Amino acid sequence: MPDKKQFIEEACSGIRDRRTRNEVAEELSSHIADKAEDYVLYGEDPEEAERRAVGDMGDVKKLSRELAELHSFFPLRKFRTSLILFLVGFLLVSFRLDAGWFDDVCAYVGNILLFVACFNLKSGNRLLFGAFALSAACFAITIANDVLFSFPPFEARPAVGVAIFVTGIILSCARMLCFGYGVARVAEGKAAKRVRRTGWLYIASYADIFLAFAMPLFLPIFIVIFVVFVLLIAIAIGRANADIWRNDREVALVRTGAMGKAVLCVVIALSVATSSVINAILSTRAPQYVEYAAQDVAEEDAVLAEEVKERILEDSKSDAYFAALSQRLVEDVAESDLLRLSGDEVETDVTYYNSAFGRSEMAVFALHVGVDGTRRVTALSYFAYEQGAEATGVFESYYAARNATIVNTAQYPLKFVNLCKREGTMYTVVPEYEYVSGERAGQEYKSVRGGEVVSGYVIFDMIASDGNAVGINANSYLHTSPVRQPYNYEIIEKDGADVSGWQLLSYGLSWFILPESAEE
Amino acid sequence: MKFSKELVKGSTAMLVLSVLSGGAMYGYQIIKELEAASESAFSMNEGTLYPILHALEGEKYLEAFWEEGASARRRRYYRITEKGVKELERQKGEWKSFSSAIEKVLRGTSRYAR
Repeated sequence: MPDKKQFIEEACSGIRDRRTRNEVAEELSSHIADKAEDYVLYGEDPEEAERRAVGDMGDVKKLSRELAELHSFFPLRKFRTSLILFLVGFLLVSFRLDAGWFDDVCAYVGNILLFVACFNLKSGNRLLFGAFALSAACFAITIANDVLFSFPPFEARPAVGVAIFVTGIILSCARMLCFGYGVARVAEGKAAKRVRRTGWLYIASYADIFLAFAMPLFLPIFIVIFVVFVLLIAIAIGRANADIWRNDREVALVRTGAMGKAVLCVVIALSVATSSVINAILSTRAPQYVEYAAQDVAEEDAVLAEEVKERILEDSKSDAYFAALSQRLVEDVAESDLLRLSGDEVETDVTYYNSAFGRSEMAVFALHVGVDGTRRVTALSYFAYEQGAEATGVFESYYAARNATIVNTAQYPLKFVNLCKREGTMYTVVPEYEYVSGERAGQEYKSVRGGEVVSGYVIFDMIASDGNAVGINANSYLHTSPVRQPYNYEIIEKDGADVSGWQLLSYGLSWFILPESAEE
Repeated sequence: MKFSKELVKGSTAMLVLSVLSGGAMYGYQIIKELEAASESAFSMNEGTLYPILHALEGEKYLEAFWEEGASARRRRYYRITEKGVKELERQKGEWKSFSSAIEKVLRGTSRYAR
């Protein structure tokens, strides 16, 4: 026969809620003590009295079963907490504000909450265990994404990115299905209906998100539907609490042991540490802007510049040639410090423009959104123009048509940046004009603009600060007049020398950082 | 006289409610009161009382509270609620009808058995 302590421990072993278990244990202990006191009054010695009192309590196993069955409302409390965690986590990973690091933090925290929620319910049934395993995998994918996109090898990044994206979508879909259906299946008893409703609502809201991506035209409708689903889930979770005192065995869950909780804490701590380390490394490896000197230009680049000029002069539209040039840009950009450390999004655009007025250009643009949300555009351009060519209007319409969300040419000034150095420089000096270096910036050009002779300083690959004209080559002007109409450049003089005719051929790699206010 | 478990099982909740209709009591006290009131006819395994008490509490027929006794030991007292009083009346009525029906059958059987 068990002693008093053993009896009480065994009798209460099936009660999952710690507070309830302690209260019932105290109640039983008090009863046994009272009974033992009576036996002592009748002349028994205390030990024998306690032994008899314990014996009078009956079959401990039967008592344990009955108490466990009665006090199974605890799992519903834990269940409800997990549903709330899952809901909050689900919301965090579902919404993206295009706010750079904030989106990453939301996704990270959301995945943690989803992982914790699924961890709590993993023993509910196989589906919920599956949800737990899948949430662990999603969590791992989130960390892997950070690691793989922050360190070499960069050449594999596009393929890796696609693989991670596809895998992540599949895993998160499976997780949602397992969780929603598992929740719907796990509940028993009178409160089951509300709990099941929660599960189906999760599945429905996830389907809504997918439809929103597939049919962005109807996004507002899907958002409204999603909000309604979320409210219904919240109401269902809240009402599940009203059934907490029902005498039905509502949810069968196994208590998370101390080891399980310890594992959970270690996992979360490791993931937070990993993320912190990665971000610390990223912040210390910010690209250094270095000015170029003209003498840095390699010979092959000078030759290439000549080739480009001749091609443009011939009005060539060889797709293969320009494809090769754009590929070069993509490769150069991919190897730059900037893209290596950011690279959340990359879009490239290749275009060739041939002006009827003798201006030809080819430009490749790559947009990057950095981990800190900064938008950067890398542009490689080749163009030359004849005297009198109308160039500026081309830029305005060009940018407006293709990158309107990047550059608001009508309103905001852009920052000036210097070039970023890379190995084996690709910057060249056009033989006629030595303008590529920061040291050489400030050479004065005169131009006719709108019939007036104006002058300004050429700053290689800098952007005009009035926001009206965007120049990405050396024949751009820095000027302060708030002119908001397209105007022509005609460079007529350089440092006093006549430079009419084919005036400029520029070839360079540059990027500029857009202030957030420039976003549409 | 010891009654069979099946007979006792169906009426234990009613008996507990009835005992508590006289005032708040703790578990051991209920056992002793039940024994005294039934003149030792009802003497249950004391452990089985608590699932019944907790079930009745879960149904809101009873409410519980802790009190510290003379020996500094805390005891959990149970008090019948209004809902519990109504349930007791219902069960009493049901029991009366049941026992009356049983009695009628038994009387009728006896008559035919002569």
